[in-house]
Amino acid sequence: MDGDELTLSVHGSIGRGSFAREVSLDVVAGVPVGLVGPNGSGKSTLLHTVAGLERMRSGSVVLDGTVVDDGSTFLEPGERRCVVMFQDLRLFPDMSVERNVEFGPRCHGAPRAEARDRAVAALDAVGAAHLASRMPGTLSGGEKQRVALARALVTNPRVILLDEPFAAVDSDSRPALRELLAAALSAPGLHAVVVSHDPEDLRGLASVTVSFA
Amino acid sequence: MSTAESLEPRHITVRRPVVDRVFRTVISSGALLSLVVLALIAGFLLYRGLEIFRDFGFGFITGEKWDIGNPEDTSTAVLGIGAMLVGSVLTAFIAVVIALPFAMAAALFIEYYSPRRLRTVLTSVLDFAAAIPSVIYGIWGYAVLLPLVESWSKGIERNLDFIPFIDVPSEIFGRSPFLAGLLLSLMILPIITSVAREVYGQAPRDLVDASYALGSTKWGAIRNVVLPFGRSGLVGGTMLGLGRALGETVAVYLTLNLVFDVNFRILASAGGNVASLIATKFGEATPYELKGLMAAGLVLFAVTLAVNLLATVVVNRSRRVA
Repeated sequence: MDGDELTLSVHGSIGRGSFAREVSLDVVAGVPVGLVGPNGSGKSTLLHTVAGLERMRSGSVVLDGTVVDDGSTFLEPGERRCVVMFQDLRLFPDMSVERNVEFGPRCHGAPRAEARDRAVAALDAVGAAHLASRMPGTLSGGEKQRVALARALVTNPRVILLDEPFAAVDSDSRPALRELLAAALSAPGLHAVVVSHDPEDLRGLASVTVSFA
Repeated sequence: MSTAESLEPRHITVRRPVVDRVFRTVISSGALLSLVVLALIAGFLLYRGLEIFRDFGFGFITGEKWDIGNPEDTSTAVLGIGAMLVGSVLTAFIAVVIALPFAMAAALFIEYYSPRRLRTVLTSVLDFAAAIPSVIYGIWGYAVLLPLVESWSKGIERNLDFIPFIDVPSEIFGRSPFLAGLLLSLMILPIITSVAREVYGQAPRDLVDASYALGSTKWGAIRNVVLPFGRSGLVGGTMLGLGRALGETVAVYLTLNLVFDVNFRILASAGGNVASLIATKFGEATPYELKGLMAAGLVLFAVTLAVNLLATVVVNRSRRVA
């Protein structure tokens, strides 16, 4: 198999205005990459660009040999099988935990029953099955984190982008969640990019660390 | 100083600058003035129409007949606005049913799909449409829409006459509740669209992005985030439109035959609403009939005020959620 077929490559200009910058990054499947750098250095912009929430200014994003953004081609976020776990998690406040996790499979066309089964399995895998009927507003930071992780993984993504994954979690809950996340990121064929200011998180989650100056 | 004394609340005096005090007085007066005007209108209508409520009681609101009888003997008069109230509600309901989906579609298009320049143009056009005088809509409805609706009504009636409110035994179409409702829908469309656009525009961008980041299409994000978020605001906007449709006078006067029978057949050329009743009768009314029109005005005033108050409550609630 060609090496490019298992690589996420971002080369070119991203961001607008003061967030504009040049990047060159290759992420090999199964080798999670950690991004470090000061605030405003473009780390989140890079994640948004890979996910398709923002467009490249020039250059390209190539995922497993397929161009997803190069100025003339732009795959919508829904067609990239790429999920983002945002710093503030962004669970849908009006949906139960189970419906939050069902959301991804439903977006990809899964029938209701199948989406529900997958959501239950994903919640079970992160130790959050007992939270299924709760509303996000009633959860603790750690519980929300588990739900967000289940919601991200349930779609079987090719790329997972984590922006400060433990920002909302207290230090006591971090080790268990870090272990859970590290196991999830080792899934075969999964490209993972982790943005964090915490060296311990990066050591626990990323195999390679790239510095954004 | 004793402990009890030290725990007593401090007395704080706020000294505002003169400019602030003058400004506060001016804007407070403005706000109060509108309330005073509202109260004066209600008081005036009640004062002038009280005799009618005394003579007919609740029958004034439920009665169908409007017969002045012998102008010299007020005891022969039978005045009731039931048919007109039904007409008001029916035409307003038709207007909302037609306008609401178009308003939602227009608001979503402007906010989420149209290019920036087109958005500016469409917003201006909608603002302009909201400012067109009712009489212009009325004349246009009478001259352009009436012949079209007449032929559409024949087709609809021919194919759907098994539905009770579609069936028209007299085969006389034209100035019907359907025509008036259709015209009213065009008049309230800009109001509902404008409110819907505002609330849809306030939908949390981070949740929309979260939808995309989970693989959602734009429609999926709108369906799951924007529409639920804007629901109560949309209800408020719809009720503002409903209030306008309930109180519309000239456009309905020109496009709906005034007939004092309760008519639920939307294609039949018969109906009327309270406002057009007042406009029709006012010029030639006897003093007693004038009191009846004042009483009708008070009922319309109360209904419109109630709908608008409800709309304000719902819109405020949606803003708090936002």
